[in-house]
Amino acid sequence: MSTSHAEHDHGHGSANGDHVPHVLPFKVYIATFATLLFLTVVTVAASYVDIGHTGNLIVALLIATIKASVVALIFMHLKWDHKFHGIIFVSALLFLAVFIGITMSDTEFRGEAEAIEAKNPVDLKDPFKAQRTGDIAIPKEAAAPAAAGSAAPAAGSAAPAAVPAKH
Amino acid sequence: MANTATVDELGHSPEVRGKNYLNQTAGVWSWLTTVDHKRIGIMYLVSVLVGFGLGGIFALLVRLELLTAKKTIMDATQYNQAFTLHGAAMVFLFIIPSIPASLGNFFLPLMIGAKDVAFPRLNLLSLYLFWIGAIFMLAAIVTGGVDTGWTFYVPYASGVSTTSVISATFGVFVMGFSSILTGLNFIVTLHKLRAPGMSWYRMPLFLWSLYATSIIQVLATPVLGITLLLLIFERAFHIGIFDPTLGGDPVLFQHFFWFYSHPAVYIMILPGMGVATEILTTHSKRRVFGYKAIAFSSVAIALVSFLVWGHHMFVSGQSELSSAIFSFLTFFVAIPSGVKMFNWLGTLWGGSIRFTVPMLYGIAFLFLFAIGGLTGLFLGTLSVDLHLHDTYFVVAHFHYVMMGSTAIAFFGGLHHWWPKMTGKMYDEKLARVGFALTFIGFNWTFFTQFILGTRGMPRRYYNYLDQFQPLHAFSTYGSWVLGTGFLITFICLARSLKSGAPAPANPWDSATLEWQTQSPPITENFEKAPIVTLDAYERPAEETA
Ligand code: HEM
Ligand SMILES: [Cu+2]
Repeated sequence: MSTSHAEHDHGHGSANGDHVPHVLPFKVYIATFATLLFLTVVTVAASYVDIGHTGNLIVALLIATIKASVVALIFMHLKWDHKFHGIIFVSALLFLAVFIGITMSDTEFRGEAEAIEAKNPVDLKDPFKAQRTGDIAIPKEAAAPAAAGSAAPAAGSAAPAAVPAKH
Repeated sequence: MANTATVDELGHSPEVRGKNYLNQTAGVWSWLTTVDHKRIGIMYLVSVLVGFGLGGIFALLVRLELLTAKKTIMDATQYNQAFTLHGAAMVFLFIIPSIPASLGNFFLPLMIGAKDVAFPRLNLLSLYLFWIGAIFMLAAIVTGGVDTGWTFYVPYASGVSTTSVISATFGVFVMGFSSILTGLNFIVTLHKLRAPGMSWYRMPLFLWSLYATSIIQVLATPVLGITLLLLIFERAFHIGIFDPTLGGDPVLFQHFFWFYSHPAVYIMILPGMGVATEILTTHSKRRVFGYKAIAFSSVAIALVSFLVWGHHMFVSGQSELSSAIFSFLTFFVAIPSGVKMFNWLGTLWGGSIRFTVPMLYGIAFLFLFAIGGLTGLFLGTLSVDLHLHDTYFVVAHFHYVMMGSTAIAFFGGLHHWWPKMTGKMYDEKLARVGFALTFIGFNWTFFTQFILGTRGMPRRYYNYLDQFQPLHAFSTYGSWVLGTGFLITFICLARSLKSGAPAPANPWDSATLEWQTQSPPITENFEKAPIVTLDAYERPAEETA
């Protein structure tokens, strides 16, 4: 967010931070407001043009992003503010991206193991057998005792199965 | 700056002598309208101790009920309410505000040589918001209780439970604002009000930990706010967000909730780590080893804490991909935690350790946090957690970190700074007895629960299999020892208010700034604004020589 107005440079970068309020001409506010209104009309208009689901989504998000930037830069004065505040603002967006992004690693990929398990059903009497076919970690000799010892963990898993009762 | 200065040696003018923030003005009104960070800190202290007492009573009730495998003193619905209110009171009324809002409020300005926080009125507002939120929570208790667990999981909380969920969650919502305001205030204060010469790297490490905590409070708490608001909307107006019968996604609620609540566990522990640092350096008379490592590990913990929330959701039905990512990322938390651990040990190494009461708490902290933190890694291991999730192992883990680490650090800090806050010394012997019973009772109660958990005892169960009964009973006996320990500690501190010997300005011979003014401090903190010429924890040259 570089400072394009030389006359605004004073008072904003001062280390002891006494913030000089930044006053914009009234015209600028009106023009910004008009821009926002105009972009709203564009959003509505664009929704009538069918360029496919993704296409429409991209256009709508693009317009919304421009509007948000105008608000942040002009109404919120970030354009003339400390660079540091710009960094804070952008990191807030990154923060949101982390939240939504990682959450989507769940919502977009749910239940993938189910398909694999369906192909490879577990024998309840010998629950570790089906897994063993795909499990490279268990050496062959160890396989037999492991099956015998599996009775205990299988019984123990009754507790996690009762979990939904808590919710 | 002499370290062992008595009140008169501090060079106070005759007008100031004998005056302090406690007796400057008198009357309830002067407290309720004060903007003095020290008085606000004291009011927070009293408030969180009341919250601790309330949570403690519910805890003892829960343990008593679990003494036998079937009904002991209450029915199943009352039991659900008891553990919910225990958790909610301890988390929201005690541990989140505990160290930052009480000790932090009191000492942050003193430690940087400032007169007050940056926004004193906002500080008072945050206290009022805390009280208002607490009233909503108390109202929930009176008007039907809450039985959802402190996590308010949907769809139970949004549709099924018939208890006062809205009042409780709204209370938490309001308290969230209090938390945000405190965090904001601390960030600005640390940036703007440090005394001349007090550079970032000269700050006591408690302040770095408060800084990191504040970042989390400001960033994460709004997410809790919106989550609870959405929950309230769903419950009140049946708008489908989380409830599957209304078209919502219940796992989404868990994402929202833990996106706040995992970072929130660092809101709880980071200040405790900060307090421990101050105690360990002061009472071993040694400068902190690895100052920058400890400072930046606090910030690193704050940042990493935002990337691991899904480790609470391994069995929720979230995607396997997510679970794997979260399990992987969880291990990164261990790095900055380990960095701190070794630097604390390095600080003690070769120091002249004095086993004062605060130091006992400090050492207990090291011991208990090691157990709590390492068992966190067990739980972060995906394959292990599938078995341990929702068992007593988890209960034991988080009590080791919340109670064993944060609460122990809080009480250590209370004993450390008590002379400064109140101007009174306490009875060391009695305080030791209180500490010993707390420490023994704590391990007695909760180590048992690790064993219960690994044997498959699920958490939040009213009735349980007979085979668990001996261990449950054992744990309950421990809780009585623990309760007695706290009772003795409270009696000890309360007695000191009445009959304690007057405290000198610097009873522990500490090198930090808050001890360079009288005990208790004057309203303006320092008569002459201090100018800092020494590094953090550095002593004047003639003393180190
Ligand atoms: C050293 C780093 C830590 C790691 C790796 C860790 C890991 C975990 C994991 C994986 C769980 C979920 C267990 C499950 O439900 O199956 C958990 C639960 C929990 N942890 Fe930690 N933890 C750590 C430190 C802490 C700290 C410092 C606190 C608080 C001061 C804390 C408080 C909690 C709480 C309250 C829960 C249980 C929440 C609930 O379900 O009610 N943890 N931890
Ligand atoms: Cu967590």
